[in-house]
Order: sequence, then structure tokens, then C-alpha cells
Amino acid sequence: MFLKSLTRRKVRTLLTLFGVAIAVAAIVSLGALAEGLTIGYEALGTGSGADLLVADADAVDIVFSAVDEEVGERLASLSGVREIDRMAYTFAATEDVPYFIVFGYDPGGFAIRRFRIVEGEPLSDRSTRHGGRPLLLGKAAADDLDKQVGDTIRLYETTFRIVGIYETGTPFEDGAAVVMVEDAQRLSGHPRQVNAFLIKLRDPGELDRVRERIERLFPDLTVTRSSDFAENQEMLAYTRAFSWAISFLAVLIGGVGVMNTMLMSVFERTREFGTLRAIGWGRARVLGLVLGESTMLNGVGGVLGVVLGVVAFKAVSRSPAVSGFLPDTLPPALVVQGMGVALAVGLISGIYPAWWASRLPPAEAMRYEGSTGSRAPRVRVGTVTLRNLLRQPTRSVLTMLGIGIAITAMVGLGALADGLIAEMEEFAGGAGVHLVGMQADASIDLSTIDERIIHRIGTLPGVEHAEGFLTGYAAVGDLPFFVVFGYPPRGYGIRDFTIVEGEPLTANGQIILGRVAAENLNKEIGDTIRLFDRPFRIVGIYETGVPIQDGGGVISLRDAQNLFGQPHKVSFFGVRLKDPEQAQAVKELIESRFPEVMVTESTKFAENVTDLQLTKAGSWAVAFLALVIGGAGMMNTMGMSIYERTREIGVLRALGWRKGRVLGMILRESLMLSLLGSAGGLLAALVLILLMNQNPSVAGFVKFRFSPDLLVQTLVTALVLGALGGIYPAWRASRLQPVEALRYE
Amino acid sequence: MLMGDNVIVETRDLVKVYGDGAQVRALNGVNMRVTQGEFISVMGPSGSGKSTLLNMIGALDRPTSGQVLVGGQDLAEVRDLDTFRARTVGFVFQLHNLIPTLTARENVEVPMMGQPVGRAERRRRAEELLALVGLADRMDHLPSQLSGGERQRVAIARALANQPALVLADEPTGDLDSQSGTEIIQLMRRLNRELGTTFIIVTHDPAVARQTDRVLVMRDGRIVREHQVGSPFEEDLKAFRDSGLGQAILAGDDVARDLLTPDEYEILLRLLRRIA
Repeated sequence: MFLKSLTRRKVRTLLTLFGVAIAVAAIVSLGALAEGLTIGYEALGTGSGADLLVADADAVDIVFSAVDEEVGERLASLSGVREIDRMAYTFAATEDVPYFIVFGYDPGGFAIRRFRIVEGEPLSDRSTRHGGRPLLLGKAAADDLDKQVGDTIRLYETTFRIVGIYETGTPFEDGAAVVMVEDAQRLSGHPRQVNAFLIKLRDPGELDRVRERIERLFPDLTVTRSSDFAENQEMLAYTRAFSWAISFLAVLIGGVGVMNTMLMSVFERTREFGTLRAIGWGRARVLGLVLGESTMLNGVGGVLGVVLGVVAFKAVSRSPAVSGFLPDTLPPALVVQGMGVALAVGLISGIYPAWWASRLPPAEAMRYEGSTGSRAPRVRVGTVTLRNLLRQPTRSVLTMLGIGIAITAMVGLGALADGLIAEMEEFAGGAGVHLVGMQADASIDLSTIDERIIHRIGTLPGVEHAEGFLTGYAAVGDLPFFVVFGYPPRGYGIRDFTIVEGEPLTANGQIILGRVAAENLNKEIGDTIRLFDRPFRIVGIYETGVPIQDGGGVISLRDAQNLFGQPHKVSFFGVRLKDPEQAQAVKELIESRFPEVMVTESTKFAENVTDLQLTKAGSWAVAFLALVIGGAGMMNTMGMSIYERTREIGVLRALGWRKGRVLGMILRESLMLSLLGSAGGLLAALVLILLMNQNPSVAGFVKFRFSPDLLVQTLVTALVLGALGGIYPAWRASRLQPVEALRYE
Repeated sequence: MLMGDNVIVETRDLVKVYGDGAQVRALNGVNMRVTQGEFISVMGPSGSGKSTLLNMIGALDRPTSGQVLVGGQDLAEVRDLDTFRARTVGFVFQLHNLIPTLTARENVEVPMMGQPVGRAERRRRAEELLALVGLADRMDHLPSQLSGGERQRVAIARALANQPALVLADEPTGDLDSQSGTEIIQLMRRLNRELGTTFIIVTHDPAVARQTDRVLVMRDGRIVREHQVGSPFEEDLKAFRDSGLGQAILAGDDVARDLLTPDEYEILLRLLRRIA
């Protein structure tokens, strides 16, 4: 019975199903990503065979953790500790893969034992003799990259020789590589530091005692049970939150579509409901009928979505760039979750239509003539196009809502990406810097360059001055991402930080704070601020107008290097040229002399950074997803609209209207619908941007930026949506045979 | 506008077959001629092919075989049927065929959209036509705010928008009460005389057919009879006296009293007695 009502309007049902399916597919595939990361991190913890894991207390993610090796010796000497092992963990760019996971383990340690060698030989000091540094490659990575034992592989600028292939059963590890701890340290630019120490206890019963002891001895460090490790990773929580946010967005738009369809379906069947009531159906029964249909619709959409999600998952799993971040099979819990959300959305979106249908007075409902008769409009203001949209105000409003949400998402994310890019550009272009350099192929968060290289760049012909600076994150107060900059106090770079209060930075142990950070943290000059438990005295407040700078603080380069455990390292460097015209030549010179660095003109910095490109691509992908669902709803609405007006279109054709004219009328309506929805969405996005920019923990990090480009993008999207959503229905309408349309009841 | 014996509509062996499998011959060889300025009706039971014939003449549908000539031109050779429909013919349908979102005036403007008529001229002509059909004070009303008769007047004004030579009306009084129906036919008759426009009215109501010059009676896709309503009065009356109803009136049969209003009965009885 439910199915029959739904198959009456096949196109409408299909389009609605499509919307729901995309939303569910998003839940399933994005959930898989979060799940894959969780499984990977669990393997890092539990799989290692360790009882405890010791890492940097303030690191947002284990990849940012750096613990001095001396700590290891002291940990080993503690009573109750049976064995300790070192773990290094970083990303490196390799052929075609921007974020290739690399672990560093000791060949003799216990943690490496779970990397079961299936081909070749295990990692050992002796294997160095084969030429190239030894590396074990995961089975999945070997397949994806088409590598075999004996082949070489380049990570950044270093050549490694593959001595063995391993398998652990965890995609996170099987899609990665294992090298000697020292080599991993070199790749991450953190010599003599590891990301974590793994501890095996003599007696697991002593776990709590040992943990307390270590935390007392090393207040900078955090000790977690290896089994609790994954859930303590903030990055994981962000990934999950992100995947939920996108899924929620998709579900919201899909839900609006379902509600629309169900509402139209019950409107059309007004007389039927009257008849059902007249022959003795109770209100509850009618309510149940409509709710059942809506749930059924979404159930089918959910199944399609799961299939779509699995297909997307399988397709993406093939790509070596992401396979490491996905579980090898789709967790059944996600399928259940996707289906659950689909059914819940069906139930919720069905409530209003069901309530409407159940409240119809039987006698009146049976007299109902259809939308051309008694539901005729009472308004005669506005253009003809607007009046046509107002015939079914609920439907038009719901459709606009769907489009509006999509546009809000698009504009909001676009403004975020643009804000980040603008920030990077300003960040890179300050202090009369012509060229900006960072570690080649690295992520901006992980870029590290040796100071000696900067000194040598400073002596190259055409270079007036080269100076490096360091950036890092620290958690301060309520701010999880407090950005700390390390600059030489008397250098060029620090001149960007215009002091508005107090004095400039002159010595170690001092900090100057951005205006926004000072407000957020409620600090004044003379106060002390603690970064990783080291005190810094606030000597000045600066303002640069760049959110990431104004939301952070500047300390001396030496302090920063010590604080982040990166002696003689910098993250980025700026180059001033004697002749700015020579920028291209100097860039080429630097890159050929020092292949480990990437140099761009400061104005083009943002477009050359992989992370920003990915952010931009991500925002486009989310916007695209939202628009596909919104577009399906649009097409649905226009389809219903012309369907209802079949006879009217017949009349128009009989009166001599050309096909083109009918086409134009319908297209104008769909364009107007889309433009109105987009205008609403744009307005909502602007409000959102305003709110975000006033939120301290956001404003200290990035300033959402609404550029004219974004306005153009919105307009173009609205027009494309309107045209796409309207063109098929309009074409159908124009092709109606006048005689048949006139005979249509 | 041309008057006299110019033939405006002519059909030759017109055949229309619907359906692929079980074929329905909606028109089965129709030959007819309509002269410019005529006011005629097509009668017949439902399914006799009246509406199909009208659709063929109005170029809403194409015949399976045979020819339709309007104004001497074979419709099979007309390339731009949209313009033909807009300029040469005007349509009046049953009720509910106004655009519900448009006001009376805007509905009259609809056929002029897409024709080389300026916006101001369009508006002026629509107002003129609505005044002509007696709706000068209802121009800005929506169809839902008009009575059935008023809606049909709007439809008539709309049919005349592009000053067509020919108006095709499909059951124009079908959904109206007899009072409004009579008024609508009288309006069309008046326009026929004043503007010289040819009217072809499809109806199954004899009261409507009686008010036209000529009645074509259709059955099973053919024209089976033709009455000259305007023929000498005596002959018609004699023919009526010999018909079943005439005999029933003279016999004072109940059937006659049931079928006719008391006024009609009295008048007819007096006339029949006079020639008897």
C-alpha cells in the first residue's frame, strides 16, 4: 500500500530518493574516514603491545608531539618498567601521495614485532649496506605504489631502499612505511626526539602507580593507557565532528526534500483521504499511513545511499593517497547508522504532512477539486512568475530552504577558505619579503628547515637578506590552537608586528601578544603567560590585521626552538631581494641548490601550498554535495508544478504560445525560485560569517572573508541551479501536445 | 473583414484515427463548408467527433487523412501553426480554462504575448474587449473572484484578442446554468453581427443550437444532417408538427409538458394549432 502511493509519481519519488541517498552516502563514506583514522590510532596504541604511551601533553595530535630522547633513559630506569620502545610518526610526501604515513621504530624493539614481514627481510642496522636507507613498506602501499622488495622510494629528498614488505591487517599501517627511528626523525626534522615512548610494565597491576609517577616527574608529558590512546587524540575528535557536520548538512537538505514530496503527495490525495475517513478510517490510521509512506521512502533512499556509500568507499580505497586513512572493510555500525538516520529523517519529515492529512474534515476533503480549483490564489500582486510560485507557497518555501541551506554552506565554507588563503598571503608577504620558502612538499604544519640552509641562502647572489621563523601550536587557557611565532627579535620579520601598547620583543623569556589574543586570554602587559609550562612575560601588544597573528603571540626564535624542541630549525623563511625583478631567477637558484626547500613569490604563496588547495577543494566538494541535493529538490518542485498545470499549458499552446515561450515561462520560474532561495542562503551565510568573526576562539585563528568572487560564485550557482532544475521540466512542458494537455484531468 | 460568400473553413474527407491497437475512428470522412460571417453549431452525442473536428479546424491536432482549409489555405502546408492559432482562430473552452493566477485583463492579454503587439497596445485592446463583453468593471479580478458566466465572457474576450476571422467554441455553455448560457450565446451572436467574426460552436444543448444559423449534426464521426435554422418558418413548423414532440404537444401528452417549460408549451401549442 505504501509502495503504491509512492510509485504514482515515479520521477518525484526517484528525485527524492536520490536526495536521501546522497545524504546517507555522505554519512557512510565520511564516517568510514573517521572510523579508519580511529582504527589506525587504536592500532598505534593497543597494537603496539605496550601498556602505556608517553607523549607531549599539549600536542593536539600525536604527529605534533615531540619528546626528548633523554626522557626515555629516565623512563627506562623507573621501577616497574620492564621495557621501553621509541616511536616516531610523521607524514612525508612521496610519489603522487602528499601525506604518506611514515613510522619510525627500533629494529630490536617490541613495537616493531607486529609488522609481520611477508616478503624480504626485517629492518636491521645491517640492511643499510644495500644502498639507500632501509625501509619496510606496507603491503597495501606496495600494491598501490607498485613497488617491490629491492626498489627504491623517495620520501621528500631522501632515497630509501625497500628491504621488506609487511602486513599488520590495519590499513592505517599497511598503507604506510616503517623506517629506522633516526631516519624518521630526519624526515620530520626533529632529531633526537620521538613522538612517543611505549612502555611495557613488569606487572600490569602497577599501571596507575607508574603513570602517576611519570606525570609527576614530567609535567609536560601525558601518559595514557595504550587502549585509551585513540580517544585522547583531539585531531580525531575534530575529524569526527567535521564528518558529522557535513552529514548533518546533507541530511538536512535531503529531509527538506522528503517533507516537500510528502506534502505534495498528501495535497494531491486530499479527496482520497476524505474518502478513507468517510469509510471509517480514524485519524490515527491516516497519520500512520502517511508516516509509513515517508519512512518507506527514506528506507529505500537509505538502502540506495548505503550502496552508493559502499561504492564510493571502494572507489576511494583504491587511491593510495587516502587508502591508509580508511578501514579495509566498511564497519557495519556505519551502515546501521546511515539507515537509522534515513529512517529517522523519514519519520520526522513525515510528521507535518501526516498531521495535515489526518486533520482533514472528511466532507470538505471529498469536495476538494485539486489545485486548479478551490486552491486558486487570492493574490494578484507581483510578476506572473512570482504568482505562479505562490500557488504552492509551502512547496516553494521548502524548495528555497533547501537551496538556501546549500548556498549558506557554500558561501560559509568559501569564506573560510578565502579567509585562510588571504591570511596566508598576508602572512607571507609582510616586511617587504619577496620570496617565501618552506620545506618542499610538506604540510604547512609540519614544514621544517635547517637554519644553516637559511644562512647559505642569505649569501646567494641577488639575495639581500634571508630570515627564518618558526610557528607552532600550544594550548593556552581555553584556546586549543594558540599559535606561537618565533622570530629573531632584531630581524626583519618581526617588524610586521606593529606594537600598539608596551614595548617590542628584545630578549628571551619575553612574549608579545596579538591584540585579539590579549583580549581573549584577558592578559595585560606585565602579566605572565605559560606555554608548555614555561613562563613568558608579556612586554607588548601588537596588531597586524592578520587574524592568525593577532590571535597568537611572538617569542624569540631561540625560545620557540627550545619550546617546540626544534633546535636550529625554522618552519618558513622570507627572502628580500636586491632587485625584485629577479624573483624568478633567484627562486630557481635557491631550489636548484637546496632541493629540500620550496620557494614561491610571496604573493603566490597561498596557491602553492597543498594544504590550502585541499581546503579549497574540500569546501568545493561540500558545496557541490549540497548543491546536488538542492538541485534534485529543485527539479522535483518544477516537475510537480508543470504536472499540475498540464491543462493550463495546453490552453496557452492552443492560444498560440510557442514552445519557446512556454519553456521561457517555466525557466523563469525555476530561476526565480533558485535566486530567491540563494538570496536567503547568502543572507544567512553573511550573518553566520559575522557571528564567526565575533567569536573569540575563531577570530583568533582565521577571519572569514566574503569576497566579491564569492558573490559571483553564489550568483552563478543560483543561475546554474535554476537552469538545471528547470530545464528538464520546462522542456517537458514545452513538448506537451496541446490536445492531450487540454484533455488532461 | 471580408463578408459574403467567401468560404472560410472547408474540410475534405477528413479522417482522424486514434490509438495504435484498438483504433477509434473519431472522424470518418467529414466534408463541410463554412462561409465567412456564419454563426453555426455542431451537435451530436458525446463521442460523435465534434470536439475532434474543432481541434482539426483549430490546428490543435493533425488529421490522419483528408484536408482542412482555413481561409483557402491547407493547414498541412502551414509551417507556423503557433502563429496560425494566435492570429487566425480564437478558442473558447469549457470553464476552468482561464489562467488562475492572472487577472481578467491579463488573461485577455495572453494570446497577444509573443505577437507583435506593444505592451500598452496590448493593455488597451484587452480593456476594450472586456468592455465589449460587459466586464469593464471586473478587469482586475482573478478568475476565482468571477462567476461562471463572467469567466466565459473573459474567455470570449480572450478568443477575440488577435482579431481572428474565426472563433471556435467547445461547449462554451457546458458548465453554466441556462440563464448564463443564453446570455453567453447572445453575446457571441452580437459579436458575430458587430465584428463579422465567424463562430463555430460545439454543443449538445439544442437550446444553444436553435440560436445559430445552421446546425451540423454529427454521429460516429460523420455529419449526418444539416438544419437551416433560418429556413422559411412555415416549413420548419410543419416539419416540427410531424415530429414526435410536435405530435405529443398536439395530443396534450405528459411527455411534452415534461420536456418543455409552461411558456414554451403554450407558445408551441398555439403555433401548431394555427397551421394544423
